[in-house]
Parts: sequence; structure tokens; C-alpha cells
Amino acid sequence: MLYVDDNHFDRRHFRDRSALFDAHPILGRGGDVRIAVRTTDTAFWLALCLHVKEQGGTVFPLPGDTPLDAARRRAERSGCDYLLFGTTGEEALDRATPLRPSRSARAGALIQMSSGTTGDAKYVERSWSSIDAEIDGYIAHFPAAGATPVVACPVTHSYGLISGVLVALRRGVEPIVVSNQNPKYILRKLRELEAPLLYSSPTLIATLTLLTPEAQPLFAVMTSGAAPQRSWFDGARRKIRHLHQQYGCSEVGCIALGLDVSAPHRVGVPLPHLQVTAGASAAAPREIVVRQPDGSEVETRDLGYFEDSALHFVSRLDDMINVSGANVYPAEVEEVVLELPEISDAVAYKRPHPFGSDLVCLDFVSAVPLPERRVREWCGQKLAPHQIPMRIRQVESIPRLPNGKVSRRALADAASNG
Amino acid sequence: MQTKQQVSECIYRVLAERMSHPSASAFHSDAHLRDDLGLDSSSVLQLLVHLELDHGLALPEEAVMNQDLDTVRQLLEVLHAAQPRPDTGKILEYEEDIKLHCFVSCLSEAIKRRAGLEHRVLYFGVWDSGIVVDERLTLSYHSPTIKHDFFVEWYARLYGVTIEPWYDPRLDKDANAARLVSLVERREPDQHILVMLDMYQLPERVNEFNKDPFPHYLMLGPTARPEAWMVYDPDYRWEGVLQRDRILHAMQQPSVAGGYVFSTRGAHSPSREQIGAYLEACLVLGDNPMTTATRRSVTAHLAGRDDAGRSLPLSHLPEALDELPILAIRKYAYEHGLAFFWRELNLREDEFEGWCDEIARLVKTYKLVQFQAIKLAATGDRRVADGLFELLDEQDARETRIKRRLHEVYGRWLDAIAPATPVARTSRASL
Repeated sequence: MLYVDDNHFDRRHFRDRSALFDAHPILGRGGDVRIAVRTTDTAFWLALCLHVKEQGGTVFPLPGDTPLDAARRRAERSGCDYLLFGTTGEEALDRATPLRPSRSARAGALIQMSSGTTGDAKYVERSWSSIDAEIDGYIAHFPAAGATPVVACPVTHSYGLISGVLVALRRGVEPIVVSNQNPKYILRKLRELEAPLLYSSPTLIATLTLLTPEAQPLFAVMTSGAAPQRSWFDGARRKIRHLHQQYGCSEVGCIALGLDVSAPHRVGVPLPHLQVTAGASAAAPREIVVRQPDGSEVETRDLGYFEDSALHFVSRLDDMINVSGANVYPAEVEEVVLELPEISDAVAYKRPHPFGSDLVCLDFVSAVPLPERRVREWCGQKLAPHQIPMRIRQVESIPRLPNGKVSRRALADAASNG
Repeated sequence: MQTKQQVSECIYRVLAERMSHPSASAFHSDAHLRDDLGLDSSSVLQLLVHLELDHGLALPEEAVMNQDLDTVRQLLEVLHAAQPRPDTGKILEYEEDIKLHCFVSCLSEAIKRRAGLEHRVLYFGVWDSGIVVDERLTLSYHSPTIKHDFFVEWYARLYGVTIEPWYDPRLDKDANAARLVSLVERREPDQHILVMLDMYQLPERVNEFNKDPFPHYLMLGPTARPEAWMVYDPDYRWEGVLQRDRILHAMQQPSVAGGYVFSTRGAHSPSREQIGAYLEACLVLGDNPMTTATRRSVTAHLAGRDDAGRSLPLSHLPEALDELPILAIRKYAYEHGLAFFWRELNLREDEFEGWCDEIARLVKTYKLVQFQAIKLAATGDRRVADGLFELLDEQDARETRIKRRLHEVYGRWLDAIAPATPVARTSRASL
């Protein structure tokens, strides 16, 4: 059925796991289940996800490195009534913590995070039927016959989970989920396969291509995330036989997919089940808006345009930070940092990383000198690793706009130019 | 094959030069990649790419990202271990880097950096190296009068490398500091600059023995910024960036005075004759100076008189033996000695392991000796003294057994190489 690193898990394994979940006091509630899960046990998470989907329950996967405080905060805010937290799946099952959800629940969904209006995080619920429609649309658009998907990105996010794993299972091929992000390990896995189709983030793809000789290019690679830089794109194209790109958001999943893309901003033709509107030319980009089969409209907060019927992505309209494919919401980082008693004001923003993702930056105000390590250790207890600020500056004050708001964009622009 | 210190320096250079990383000045061996250096997963990947492409240091496939790579030390251990090795024979795995003798550790690191040079023999001089006993019968690893002439002389004989003192005791501290600055700023490739620092003045570094003062030799080099220097401390397996002024402050203390400079360019492997002669000079049969010194100190404290005839109260004994644990660690040098001949003669590994256990017992029993001495000082009980002397007799017997076996394998080695080399086999004392 699928591999996690070098371990094979067959159908029977998933059936046995399902029986175990049925007997569990909380997971056995079928469609009434509404849980958050945080574990590094990838096979366990996938078994649980398939089980909850089958039962029509609701599940919110959290990255495996999320610390307890952060997992609990997110789980409660998303309206989950239990948190399964553990390194191994067994541990997570034993440690099902009841929560006090801050909002009432709808049933039957995958919960994902998205960007709110002021740099904060928003919790998005995707019904399993909309996910099934996405899977069908994806396969119709991209048959990928004979390819073995190698999913080297988090399977807690829709890119890795839906486009990577669920699509492969529907196609009847066995995906290889890579939890060890060691680039040398991934390169070996790819070389073992005849027609690997790697799903990964721009950062890891950049790393792999730099470590790959031009004479032995990688077979097929799918990238997703912020628009890649030109140098990244040109380097990748020399070392990859088939470089595909897809574009999406948490609310809709995959929106468009381009095969053998010829330009970094070109993210391909929209999937057949969606209606997508954007600007009419590069000179006049507009917000990308998606109408789903049920008639609901999603504003992506991304700027884009169409050219030759292919969607082109230009930039983000808000302050969301993309760290190797994982989203970071500045307001969430600032909230945690401001809990530090020494810190009186703080702003989180982004700067580009040469390997094609964003770096989380933080400016803070404190009356006493505060070493970077203290800030990071504090964040390490309350945020997932990818959310922790890496460039930290202690500043006299944080500049504000006349309306009192802070301009993360101005800071980000200054950082990317400086 | 690069040494761990060289791997560590490569990591620093990628951060500082290739990535222009803003936190590169916080670099040291125990720095946490994320919390201290601000490296997120993308930056760690970038670091790994440059280490492989610019320095030939490839991450092995087996390493698990995030789990195995939290600190600089974890990263450098993984990269160091993954290097292709000329010698595939994995026999005689033992701790090569143990803290033995700061001066010798620096000399040894310099030799290790040259491919194919035998560095272990250098440690022959450590197991019985200069124990200082002052007129108050206090044992010490350091005194202002201690010279490293023995090692300086043998370094030249073994490897053809001349060690020159740059520190001039006739000049004042400022003038010597100026000399050091000029040396470090103009360091040449293959050049090594040793300096004696009072580590007590550098609380950002470890001081596990909690000593004040704490004289210690380490090596220095420049970084891209003149106000920051790279510190190489092979004895403590630590490398890192420290502020130049902090180093100069620690070097200008009254407690320390010393520094050497040498280049390993043109260094050669020691000849078998020189190795044999060096072992002869180092293997003192018939006496174990450390046990002898300890016994002499306990006896004098029991008699209540020091060498000058002044009163020496028993309560002074713990202070007199305070540095015994630091000195005892030098006995691990026997492992280097035995390992050299074991490899040369292809001897059985299990016997070697048995001797390593014996050496470890020798080292650890000195803790017990120190404990009994403290007990004796506290109680004044003669029976405790009897027990203490028995313990010292045991230590003598144990160390003599180790020396005798070392002497035997040395003899076999001489016989094995006999036709080619006219080394005269002489024992300075009979067993």
C-alpha cells in the first residue's frame, strides 16, 4: 500500500490499525470524532487519516515537531475536543488529552491552517467530499502513468497528503513517504526507482539538484510553494528531466498544475473541477479567486494572471511567511514572543532565503539586552521549529503606520533589499 | 581525511564566508544550530551543500536530519566519521581524543592534520610527564618553572618540526600581547600558534575542575574579522570564535606566561629508530613517579614537616593532592602506547581491551586515593593512613604490570624490525 522510508506497510496493516481505532474510546466514535493529532509516526498518522476519512470524522494533523503548548493552542482554537500527542502512534493513542474547544464544530473534515486578514492564522475545514473531488480532478489533469511518487514533504499539509499520498493511493500505486529529510538519503531513494516523481519543497529540491551531477539528472520533480527565484529555476531545470509545478491553497488544495514548466511563475492550467479567475495579463495581475464545485468562492490572497490559458503566480497579498512549504503566520509568532516578560513590542516578517523559501525574521523591543538564544529557546517551547525566528534583532522601537499598524511588508521589502 | 578540528573549521568557514551568516561569530563546537546560530532547516541544507561541494564533506545517507544534527558537534562528528578512510581495519577502537596534556594535544593535532603521519607515539611522553612537587609537598601539573623542553626536543627528533617560543618572559605582558596579535593576523598555512591562557578568565568556556587560576595551552587563528579569533583547543575538543580582547585578557594574567609557534610544512614520519629511542626515554621502569610523589606527600604530612622543616599540618593534605585527578588522566596515555605496538604487531584485540580496563582502573583509583587522603586529614586516624598506603602499593603494582607488558611488546617489536634497524635495547632500570 505504501512505504515510509524503507518500511513497507500493506493493506492488512491498515486494516489492523483501523480495527484498533474502532476499539479506542475516543476514536471509536465514528463520524463524531473531532481530534487533533501530533506524532512523528508517519505511518500511524496516515492510517488514522484514512480511518477518520472513511468514518466521516474530523481530524487536524499537526507537524510532528510541534511542541505540546503549540499543539494544544492550535487544537483548541480549531475546535477539536481531543489532542493525541506522542512520538509514536501508540503513545499518542494512550495520551488523548481532552480539550476545551473555543468554537463549535462541524463534522466530517480535514482541518488545515490558512492565513487570516492581519497576519494571523485561520483554521480551514475541508470536507472529505471536496477532497475526493480534488483527487479526481488532479488525476484527470495529471495521469502520471508509471511514475512512483516519492513524497519528501510533510504529509500533514494538503500538498504532501492529498497530492502526494491520497492521489497515489487512488491511482493504485504505492507512494514512498520520506520522513528523513537527509538529502543524501532522498537521492539514494530516487536512484533506486525507474520513474520517481518527487514531491518536495523548493528548498529541498534546490539542495538535491546542487548535489546532483548534470550527467545524471533527476527524473521528475513536482514543486510547490512561493514563486521560485529565476536562478533557482534555471539551476533546477538543468538537473531535472521533468520539472512540474503545482499551485494551491489550504482551502481548495491543488488549484493548477503545470507539466514541464518553462518559466518560474507559470503554475499551469487549473484543475477541471475548478473555475479560476485572475488578471488578464502580466501587466494587470489580480487576486486569484477560485469557485469550487459546490459554488463557494475562495479568495486566495495571491496575485496572478493568465497567459496562454496557464495561470501565473506573482506574489502573496498578505504577510504570510513560507518556510520550506510550511506556512508561518506572523501574528502567531508575535503572540508567543510577546509572552516573554522582557519584550514589550515585536514584529515578525520575512526575508528571502537563497534556497528559495522564506526566513522568519523578528524585530523586538526590550528594556534589557536579551540574547537571541533566549528568544529562540522560548519560541522552541511554544512554536513548531519552522515558526521560530532565525534572524533576530533587538531594536529601539518598531515603526508604525499612521493608523498604528505595523507594516510587515515594509520590513520584508527592506530585508530583501538589504 | 580531515581532523575533527578541521571539519569544524570548514563548518565555520561556510557559515562566515559562503553564507555570510550573521550569527557566525557565535560559532563554537557546542553551539546549537538553531538556538545559537539561527540556522533553520533551509540554512542547514545550504550549509550541507557547501560542505560537500566546497570541502568534500558529505553527509552519510544514514544520518537522520533534525534528529542527528542539533549541534555543531553532532554535525562535525557525523561528517568526520563519514570520511573515506585509508585504513579500513577497524581494530583497536579506543578514545583517541581524551584530555591528557594540553601542550601535547596541540602538537598531536598539528601532526594529525598531515595525512599519513603517526601521531600516537607522541603520547609516550605523557604517562610519566613532569609532576611538580613544591616544598609544601603539593602535587601540581603546572608551575611557572615547568618547561616543555622534553616535548620540544622530541618533536624535532620525531617529525623534524622546530617549535620556537614566541613568548619572551623578559618583555612585559603588553609587548607579548602585541607579538601574539601580529602572529595571529599573519598566520601562514600549516602554522600553529600556541598560547598559554588562564581559562578561569574565560568563563564562557568550561572549567570542569573549577580551578583558579587554570593555566592551559591552546591554539589560535584569525577569522575574517580582526576583533574575533578562532580558538582551537584540541585537549578539550573545542573550537570556536572568541573575542580577541577576551583572549588577550586571559593571556595577560600573572598566572600564565608562555607561547610557541611552529609550522608542520615539511614534517616527516618518525623513523623506527627515533620511535624506539623515544619509548626508551619515556618508559621509566622501576619507578612510578606519581605514586612515589603521592606517597612522599602523605608521609611528610603524617610527620608534620615539609622539606624546609616547617610545620606541615595533616589538614593541608587534601590541598596538596587536589590536582591528583587532573594528573591521573595522563595515565590514559598508556592506551596510545599499547595501541601503537598492538597495531604494529597485529596482536589480539581482546587482550588490548583488558589492558584498557586496567588503565581505567589505574586512573579511577586515584580518586579513591584522594578520598582516603581527605578522610585521613579529617580523622587523623592512622588506620586510614595504612589503608591509603596499601592503595598506593596496589597502584604501583598495577602501573608496573602495564609498563612491563608495554616493555615486552616493545621488545617483540624490536625483534620484528631487528634486521633493518640497529636500535640498542637498553633498559634504564630492571623490573
